[in-house]
Amino acid sequence: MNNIKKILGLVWLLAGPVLIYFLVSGAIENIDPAGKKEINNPVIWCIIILIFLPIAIGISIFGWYAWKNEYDHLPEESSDL
Amino acid sequence: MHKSFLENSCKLDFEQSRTIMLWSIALATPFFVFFGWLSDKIGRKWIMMAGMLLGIICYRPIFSQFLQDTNVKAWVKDESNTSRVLISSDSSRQENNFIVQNVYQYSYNENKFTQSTRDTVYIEGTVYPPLTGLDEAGAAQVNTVEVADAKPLYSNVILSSSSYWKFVALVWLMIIFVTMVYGPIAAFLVEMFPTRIRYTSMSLPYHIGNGVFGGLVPFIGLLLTTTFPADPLVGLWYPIGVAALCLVIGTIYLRNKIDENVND
Repeated sequence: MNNIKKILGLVWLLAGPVLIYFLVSGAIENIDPAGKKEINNPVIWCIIILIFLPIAIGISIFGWYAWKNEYDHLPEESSDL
Repeated sequence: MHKSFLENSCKLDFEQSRTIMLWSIALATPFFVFFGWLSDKIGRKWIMMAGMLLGIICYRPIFSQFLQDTNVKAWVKDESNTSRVLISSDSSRQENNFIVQNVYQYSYNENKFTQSTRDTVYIEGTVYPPLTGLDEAGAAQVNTVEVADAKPLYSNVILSSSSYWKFVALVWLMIIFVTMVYGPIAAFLVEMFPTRIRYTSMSLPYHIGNGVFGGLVPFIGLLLTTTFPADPLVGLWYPIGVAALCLVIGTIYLRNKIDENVND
């Protein structure tokens, strides 16, 4: 189980940058000043990227800790934290 | 999500859609308490994980059933429904199974005319009343309106009694999955974090997470639908994906043990 936690840590570590890549490329592809749909609106894309940026960083940090075996022993009570 | 899907994609009658939601919510809400109670007995983690897993497995089949039972494509094509349907658009695109064309037509026969108080059209910011008037011979007029862009305010796909209660049951089932996760979650989180870091480690990210992941469902759903227009249910992959991520992380990285001391 500890090996699974560690290997999945790499997945979480990479998930952050991948998420941001897809959001930025989606924004570049869909933002269109001439478009009338919500998806063409640059403001919405900026908000979404700003919101997801810390989430993506967070999941990468989580992955890094998982890779460093920080979750091998899960806390059983508050004093373990 | 359920309500807007039933009304926008399935073109379900407004009243039926709302009462389906009301019945489902009323019948499912007690299960928040039930699953909270159950989690006190057998632990919280696996009830929550089961709720997520069932959601992941069942969301698409359930929504697919909604589309199949309302059968919007056939309903739109049915001539007897033309007084209720705004047929529109540019033949090159389809939206949520609704055929969109550039010519908008309301045709009324005498019977439909007298019963069509709900047939209202929203066109470029203007709400048009039902097309009215009888010709000199007393027959209902047939009027045609041509506009560049339009959408119906609502439609009236009416479910039979059995389908209605089937829809209630399906929405109820989806809310049950929610209760399995949300019933135990508050106690689960309180037990996971000691008081000194409970606000920063739990409350803040929990509420941001709820707002962000829930609030972005419409936009991400629209993004997916625009990117992959062939699948009317493609927008569901976002909530399914988030639930799957939580399921994997929760299963592997969290323990089921209840920490009895929540005051430390």
